[in-house]
Amino acid sequence: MLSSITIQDLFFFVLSSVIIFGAIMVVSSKNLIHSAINLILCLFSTAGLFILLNAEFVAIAQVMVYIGGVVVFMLFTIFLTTRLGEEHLEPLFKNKFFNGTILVMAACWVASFIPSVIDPERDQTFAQNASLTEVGARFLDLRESGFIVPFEVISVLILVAMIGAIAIAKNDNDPKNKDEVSN
Amino acid sequence: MNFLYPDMLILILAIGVLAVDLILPQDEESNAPFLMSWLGLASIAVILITQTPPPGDYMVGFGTYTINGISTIMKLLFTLACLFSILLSKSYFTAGGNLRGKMNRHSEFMALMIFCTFGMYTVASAGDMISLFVGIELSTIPLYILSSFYKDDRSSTEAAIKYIVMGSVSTAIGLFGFSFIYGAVGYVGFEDITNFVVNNPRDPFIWIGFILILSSLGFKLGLAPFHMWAPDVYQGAPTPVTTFLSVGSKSVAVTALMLLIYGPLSAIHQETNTLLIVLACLSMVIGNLGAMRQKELRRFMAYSSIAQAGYILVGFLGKGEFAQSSIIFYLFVFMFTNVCTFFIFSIIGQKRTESFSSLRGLSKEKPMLAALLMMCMFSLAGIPPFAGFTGKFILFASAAKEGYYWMVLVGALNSTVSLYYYLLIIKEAYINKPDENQPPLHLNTLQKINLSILGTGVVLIGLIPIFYNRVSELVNLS
Amino acid sequence: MAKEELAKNSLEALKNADQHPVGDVIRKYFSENFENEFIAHVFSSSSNILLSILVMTAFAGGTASFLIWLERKVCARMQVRLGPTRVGPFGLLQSIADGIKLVFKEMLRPKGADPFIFYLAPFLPATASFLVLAVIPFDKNIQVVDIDVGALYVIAVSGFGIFGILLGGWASNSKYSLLGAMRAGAQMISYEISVGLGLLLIVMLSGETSLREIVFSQYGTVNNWWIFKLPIFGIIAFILFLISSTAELNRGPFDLPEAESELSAGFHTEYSGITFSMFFLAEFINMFIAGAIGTTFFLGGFLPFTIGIEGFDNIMFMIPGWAWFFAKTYFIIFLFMWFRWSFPRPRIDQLMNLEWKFMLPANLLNIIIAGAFLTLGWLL
Repeated sequence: MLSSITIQDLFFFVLSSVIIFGAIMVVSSKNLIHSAINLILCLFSTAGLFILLNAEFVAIAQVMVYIGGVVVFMLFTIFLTTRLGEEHLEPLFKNKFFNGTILVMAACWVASFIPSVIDPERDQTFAQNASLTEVGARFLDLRESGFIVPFEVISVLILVAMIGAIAIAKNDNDPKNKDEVSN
Repeated sequence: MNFLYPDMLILILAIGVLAVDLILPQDEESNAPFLMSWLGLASIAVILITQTPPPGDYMVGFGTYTINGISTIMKLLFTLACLFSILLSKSYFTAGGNLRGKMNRHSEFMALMIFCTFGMYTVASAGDMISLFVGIELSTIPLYILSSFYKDDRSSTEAAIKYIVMGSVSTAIGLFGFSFIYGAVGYVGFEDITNFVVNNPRDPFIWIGFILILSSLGFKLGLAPFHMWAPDVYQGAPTPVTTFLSVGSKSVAVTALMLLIYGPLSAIHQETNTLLIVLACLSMVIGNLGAMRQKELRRFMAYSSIAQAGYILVGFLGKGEFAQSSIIFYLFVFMFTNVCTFFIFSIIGQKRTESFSSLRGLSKEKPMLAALLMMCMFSLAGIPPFAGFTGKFILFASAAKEGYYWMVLVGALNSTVSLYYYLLIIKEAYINKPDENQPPLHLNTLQKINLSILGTGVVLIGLIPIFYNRVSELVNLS
Repeated sequence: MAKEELAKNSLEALKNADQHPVGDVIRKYFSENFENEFIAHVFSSSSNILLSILVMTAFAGGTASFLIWLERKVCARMQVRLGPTRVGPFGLLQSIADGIKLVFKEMLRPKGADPFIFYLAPFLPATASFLVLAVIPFDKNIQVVDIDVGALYVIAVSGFGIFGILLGGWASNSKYSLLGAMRAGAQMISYEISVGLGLLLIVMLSGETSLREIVFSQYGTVNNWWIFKLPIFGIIAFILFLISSTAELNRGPFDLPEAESELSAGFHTEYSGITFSMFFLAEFINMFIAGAIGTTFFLGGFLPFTIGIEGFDNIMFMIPGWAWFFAKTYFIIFLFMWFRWSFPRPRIDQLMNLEWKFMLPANLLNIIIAGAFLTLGWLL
């Protein structure tokens, strides 16, 4: 049995259990800051999974965007909100029986697909390993296999989000603050 | 290449509208952004009307960005929706133009709207799942921002928060679905997915993916189990935004669904119909039952549009070009009728609260406005001479063609029920005694011109076959 | 003779230098002594990993204590003092003595602080710094791991250090700590963008993301270092990088997060003993890392200072690469210290304005100009 498990498999099981543990802790923790820390754990292990798949760029992007950006932003939001981190939150789900039933039903439904998915005769496609240069070239490729449209539309999307954030955050009632964003 | 002009122009227009505010001296009353946006949008609409793309899917040389008949006609729809919403928003930027107060930052407002339209363009032309997803996002995120444009109004902020929280969850679910399909197929292009689905119609990943995507699009479409956001957001957002939301967001979800069901997933269309039937029935029933109890005009329109989404879904039961052209035609009808209704509501909202009681005595005070309101209501309910009837008839015909007669029956029954609450509005306008304390209504020239264009549309689109013929001609091209 | 020498120092020879001499020995040892391939693999990779971690930890500790001594010396000299002189020659052992004192000090925890986060926080910045050390090429064959996306890795992982500061400041349950942490977080996030753009500029110019390859892209004379290779704007980019990394390090003159006159000690006000020294350690390793990154990206890394004259170059090549690397790194570190003791501290809003209204547009403009230079072939 041992010989059939590669070191990759071992890492996969360890990382996915950490992800599941982190995810459960995120939703069940009563302190928002603890939730955020568990979220970091969860996201970091996901980055580890990407490295196992030889997708280093995605892993780095995961760490950079989610851990370095999103969670830091979350922490700032929690700090700026009065005592949100200290208050012990009520669990969101009141009707545990109903929700549990639905969850178990959904899980059973998904589980019913397992036999056909692990069927060895199923034709499987594997994504090829790509270096960062290839990823970059593919993004800017004008041919049919390229992704220049989504790439450029994402930049428009980010522009829109920034315009929107400034339009909402700017205080336009007080003429004194008209051209100053308070830090 | 020249089929790409509308897409390029709309992006340039959006940036231009932002820039014009920077170049011009800081003047709150400046009309330049407004003039520029509506003139620009109108000329883009003219370009789109005159364009006839070559038959088949025409790739323009930017990845899988596809121009075909359906994308052209959908772009026209999005442009018109944006154009009328911007024309509607004019009075919101002038003092006293609205009871809820004056909105600020009109160049940002209009630029965001045009950017949102560009996102819709991307959805219509998407040739792979990544473009589709990014396009859906670009057509949703500006709406989150726009619905909070009344910063001092608690209900506007509440609407934005509710919309953004639920919208993000629905986006996440949809993305999860896309990733399932990518996991099964290994490619994101629609052609590869089509081949895969033809060979493996029972693949579980495709099904899990489709169900998750359907839930996500159902949220944007306002289908019944995912409709909870609609009444609050319609109520809280500024009226121009609600108008754009009710027409644009819905059309974009319909476009995405159409791209998937008649594109990559067409091999399993027969099986997906079961899900669509459940959603359609639920939406029609919940929308109609909910609308009966409403006293606020915009909440009422929210429930009405949930029911309308149900009718649109009935059209998806049909197959091929006929079903697609019927859906697109109905979207046009819906756009004209809904925008016209919101135009009337915005005029009422200038001086009064937007509730049923404000409509009292409208027939005495502004007979033309009351007549137009009646036309719109009859059109939404599907009464014969108006566009709504023709649209619904073709929609149900496409379902009946595939043998779903009982669905047609359910649809017709629901239309009859809906007539009750649409008549309630007409009753308020025509029969109930006018309220003496209400401030008088006032229409300016811009509103008069727009209302006459929209009113003509509501009547003529259904009567003159040229509109439907053009739609089906363009759909048959692709 | 000279020709052979040159061939030895050619780009190919440098690139093909034995990459993992120690690792290969260990791998060979285990694969010869174990029958089971799987177990041999596990043992050899784990002992390699352990070895790397040990070396890097020792290196980090040594560097940090040396830098603390250096900082005190430089500061003293700038203020016409002597600095530490008593412990060891030139006071070199002073920081070790301080370290021993700190380890034996009591760890105090304020009332109402969240114990888990309070004790977790000090280790996060140090972890982030250790992670970055793993990809830095000290010489042509001294590098823990050469990953394909090295430059992005540096940007991503150095952002990780913010957590320790934010969480530590919050968990201390003190208003000075929280204010300091918020300032530090805002400042680091803002200036991280400038640092990242500075690094991406070099990634764009060299077309490489692995740090080792970036160093090799500067092979040749001194003119080929990116600071000079991009005419004028290379120097501007280097200066922008220096300013923004000073701010990202929370060092003076940008040490707003721990401004003594306003916030007592900022985010680590409530920390003492070993927990405090972990923050301190991370700060100094980060300074070393900033210097090392600057060296790798702009100053040719471990490549020697050559001017194209054969005899001179041969002499320069005799000096080992790591010596060049440390010389350049300590030059940048000296600049950081120089800044700290000669400039006054700005206000927090001035600091933010500097980033968002000057540094960011300047960096973006620089990237655009560099792109134009690259397309037009105006690189030296």
